[in-house]
Amino acid sequence: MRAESAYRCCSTHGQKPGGFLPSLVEAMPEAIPCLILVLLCSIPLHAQGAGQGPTGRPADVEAAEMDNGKVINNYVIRQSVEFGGRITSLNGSSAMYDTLLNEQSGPRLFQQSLIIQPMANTRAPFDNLYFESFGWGGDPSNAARLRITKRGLYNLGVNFRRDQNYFDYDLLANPLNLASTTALPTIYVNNSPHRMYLRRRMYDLNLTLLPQHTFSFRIDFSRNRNEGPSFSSVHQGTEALLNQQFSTTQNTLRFGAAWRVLHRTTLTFTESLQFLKNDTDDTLATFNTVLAANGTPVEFGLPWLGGSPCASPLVGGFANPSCNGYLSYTRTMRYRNYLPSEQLNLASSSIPHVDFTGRFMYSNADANTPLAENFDGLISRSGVRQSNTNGTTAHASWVSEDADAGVTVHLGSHLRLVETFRFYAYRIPGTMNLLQNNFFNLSTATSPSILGPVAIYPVPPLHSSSSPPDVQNDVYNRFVQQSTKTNELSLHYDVSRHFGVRLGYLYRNIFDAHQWLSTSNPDTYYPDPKGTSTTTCLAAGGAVNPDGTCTVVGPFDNENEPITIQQHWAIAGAWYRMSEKFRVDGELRLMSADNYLTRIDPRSERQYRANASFTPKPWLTLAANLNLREQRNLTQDFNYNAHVRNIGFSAIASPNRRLTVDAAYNYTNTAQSNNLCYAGTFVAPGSTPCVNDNTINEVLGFYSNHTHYGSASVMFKPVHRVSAALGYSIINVDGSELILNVLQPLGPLSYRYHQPLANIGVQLTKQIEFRAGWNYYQYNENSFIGPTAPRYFHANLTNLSLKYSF
Amino acid sequence: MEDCRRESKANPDSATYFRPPARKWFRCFALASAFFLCSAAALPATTPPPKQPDDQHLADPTAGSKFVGADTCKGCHSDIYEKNFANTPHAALLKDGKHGCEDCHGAGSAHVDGGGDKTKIIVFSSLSPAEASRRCMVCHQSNLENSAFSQSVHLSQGVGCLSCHSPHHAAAPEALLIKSQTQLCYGCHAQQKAEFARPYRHRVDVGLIKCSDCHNPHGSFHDRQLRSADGGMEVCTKCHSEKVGPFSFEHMPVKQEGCGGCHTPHGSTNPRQLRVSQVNMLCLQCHSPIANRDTPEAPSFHNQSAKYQACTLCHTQIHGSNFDEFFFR
Repeated sequence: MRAESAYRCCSTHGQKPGGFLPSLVEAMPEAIPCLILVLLCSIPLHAQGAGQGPTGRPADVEAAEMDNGKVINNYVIRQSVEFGGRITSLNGSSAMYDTLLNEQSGPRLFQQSLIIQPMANTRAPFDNLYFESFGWGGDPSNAARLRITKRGLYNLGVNFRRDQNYFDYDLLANPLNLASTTALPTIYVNNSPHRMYLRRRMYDLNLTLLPQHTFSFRIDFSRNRNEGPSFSSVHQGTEALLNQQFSTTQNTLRFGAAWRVLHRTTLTFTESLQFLKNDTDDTLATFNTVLAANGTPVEFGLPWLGGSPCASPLVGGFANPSCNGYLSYTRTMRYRNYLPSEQLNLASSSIPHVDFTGRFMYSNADANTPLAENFDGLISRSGVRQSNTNGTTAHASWVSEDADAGVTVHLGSHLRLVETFRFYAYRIPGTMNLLQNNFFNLSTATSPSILGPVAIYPVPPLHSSSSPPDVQNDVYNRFVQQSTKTNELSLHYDVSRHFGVRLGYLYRNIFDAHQWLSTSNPDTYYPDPKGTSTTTCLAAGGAVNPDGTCTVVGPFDNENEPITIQQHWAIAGAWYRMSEKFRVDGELRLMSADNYLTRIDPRSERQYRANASFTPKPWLTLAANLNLREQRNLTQDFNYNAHVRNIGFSAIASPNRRLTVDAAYNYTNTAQSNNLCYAGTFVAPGSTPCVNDNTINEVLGFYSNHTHYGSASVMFKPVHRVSAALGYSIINVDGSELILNVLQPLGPLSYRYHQPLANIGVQLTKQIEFRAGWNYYQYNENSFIGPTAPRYFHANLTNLSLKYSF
Repeated sequence: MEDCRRESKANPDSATYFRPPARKWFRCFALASAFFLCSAAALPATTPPPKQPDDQHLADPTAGSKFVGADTCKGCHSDIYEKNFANTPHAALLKDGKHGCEDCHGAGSAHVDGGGDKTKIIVFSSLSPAEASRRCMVCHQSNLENSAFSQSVHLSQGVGCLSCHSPHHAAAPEALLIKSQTQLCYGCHAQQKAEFARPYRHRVDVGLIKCSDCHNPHGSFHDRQLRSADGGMEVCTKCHSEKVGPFSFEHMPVKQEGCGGCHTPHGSTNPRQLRVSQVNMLCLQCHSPIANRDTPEAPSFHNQSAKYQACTLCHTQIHGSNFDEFFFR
């Protein structure tokens, strides 16, 4: 049974169509944990044959077996495997279902766990072995975790996690083309073009050698791989849909050593080496290709209105060659980043009445990216017919220092002073050297045409006053910096073992800065018969060369802006614990700042938090929580106000072993508003000219959200061998927001999400349980959806499985 | 420490203005470390390993008692010993030549001689959370994971080791927890439980990730006891590695304010876990002109009413770009 389950685990993962071999290749990374599973399962199998003894077993063996374990060769083993399948029935929007759930039909290894512990006084290579996994066979989330420990010798942890994320929400990045009188014919786009299918695999290995010894060592390795296709878009005259194949791999190797310098004083050094590579290729995806008069397919991109791709994309049923459009587009980026970090830690409580911990980490990353972009089409405004960026490179660095220290001084058995300090600073110098060749139609042409030939120097090009240089050689220097110093001092007084209070003060100094400097190095304009390029060049401060070309050298964009923010926080907290039956704690935080970074940066903030739990009877637990946070910034015309108000109650009752009732309710009210400025022909009610730019409008932008969450479940055992559960949860969302476009669908502003469930388990034998489960999901948006497809769905999921355990 | 003071008075116009003082802060850290090491080394009382874990500044009802051995404890507490100790990681203490039960509960001779006198032995339920935790930390503080516990928010709110861990009655196979980690956290953090039930959320409830992947329940120096990634970057970048950067063109709030500036980390009612339901609203909240700042405003040709078009349709690389200052590619 175990071997069969493991085999199925390896053979049924994933649901992607294709032959056996591609599936096998795809399965290789996931096969590793399955292999571990097989190996581990073989341990008890092997031990079972050799170790099952006669009756008259020791008392500790019987005690272990009574605790749902099995003793084999002096090892206590607890194991379970649940294997079965799921049947999914969906009605409504499959895009929404896949975005939210994506749980499909098929066989599954729902979960598996294995715990092996040696009996006391047994010489064993480990003290504890724990292995669990779930979700195999195609679920969007699956994981395997292995942990083996041997006290004083090693701790080993191995994790594998994979998650699939399918995203196809209509309204994100939606051009939503509506009926138009300025572009004919109207091409409707009612679905989000930015779909994504992301598969993320994360591998972690953590090994600590000789823990608790004078010297201990640590080796970690983690690998994070994100892959998938997605649709993106690019802006070149008009937005074209791109087929994006992305692949990001991050490998991190970490090793370190800890030295117990003194009793209760440990010094630790850790070196971390992180490598990140991002290989993303983009190619033109077909959206609505139109043939030109000569039979050339022209891609006009996503928006078909408001003059884009042009006023009349079709002429006589053929593509208008004067429109913005694409014949081909490719982009290849190879991002490489190497981030080494050194970290030094000191933890000590050797000095009487003092606990100290401190850390310093230094990191210096170096990232390089070459860019190869080739565009063939037409940007009608500038007349660019083709362009390429071969030879363009980008370079960025990350330099950071991260230091913190904390001291706790025990002033008595009930009083302690806690001081913490944190310093964090980073700077990111970035440079992009743009080498772009722009090509235009022949100067003999009357107007730019996507079908016209391209002029190669010294053949004169067709320029306009909006044309960029023929050869663009620009250097963009960017510099971003931030340093933060935070100091918190607090006094804690445990009045008794039942009650404690604390008072604290936190000071934070944030320094932000950015510098921009963009330089032409140089930009070259080729001469054209009308002298347009020379005029443009000279206007930009250029000079005409003897060969007739004109070059511009020097900076064209410069910016430098430092900001310092000082925050002051007052903190107070208290806790009360009346035996184990009643417990309550609360905290208050008040902040005031003298500056801000953006319009929605608070200059004052208040936070209130309280939790309480009450257990009047051993079988009944009641709990409540309250969280309030309010922010404000009334500087200039910002008028920024925001709050998150949350309150919740829960109750768990287990009057006997056969019945458990669980209920919870939670309410969250989120709101944020500030004055924002916008350009729009539709003027929202209450708009006035923008204070800092009276050419656009200013209005109070607001968003409010009320989310009610309720859940209830009852678990019961009607008869000895049967257990059952019924449950229901609902999320009800409603809210309001500023509407700047009356045609705008409101999407997730109002909806209900129902999730009832029922399941039953029948213990067929002592070791085998039959399980059947039903889950129902219903998602229903109530807000205005405009011309977009309804996002309603409901789905019935039926799970059938057998669980084998001992 | 002089270096620390000099840093705070740095002239903003100087050439070193934009250079983080790495060496200065390292020297500060090294000086502080050296001070603690020297101070600790100078204490003769701490040089020999103590006979009992509660050697220094903890009230000790077992002072003067002698160790009697775990077998003696087992004589009266056989039930706890066999069911709730022998198969726990702490049982390995016996194999290391240590004292087993008495390593935590103190030497037991007076307790035995007193016929089981509870006042002569350390009973954890009679201690405050801070006192009980300090006894655990005698062994567990050397682990980096726990080293900041005495400064943690949890302890300051009366949540000690035994609030989550049970050496004798653990219900979860991991770290002697009294419940599975997620359910344990939900016990107090009910708001987060509700947030993880929202349609757009991190997959905590299905077990893919755990609270402790992002937070260190034993304390950290970050807000909300968050962990950090290499380089001190936000913990989010451990999984969302494509957002790490550095980029030639940084969208500055991503680094300066963090992911939480636009996203709600646990769960959201909005796609992409955004803080608001419309992308354009999110952008305009910041990209409106400010009198004395260079924050770029949305240009006048971005007519909000001509068509409904999300900002991210064109500004696709909104987390940072290597090739376009407007995040087009």
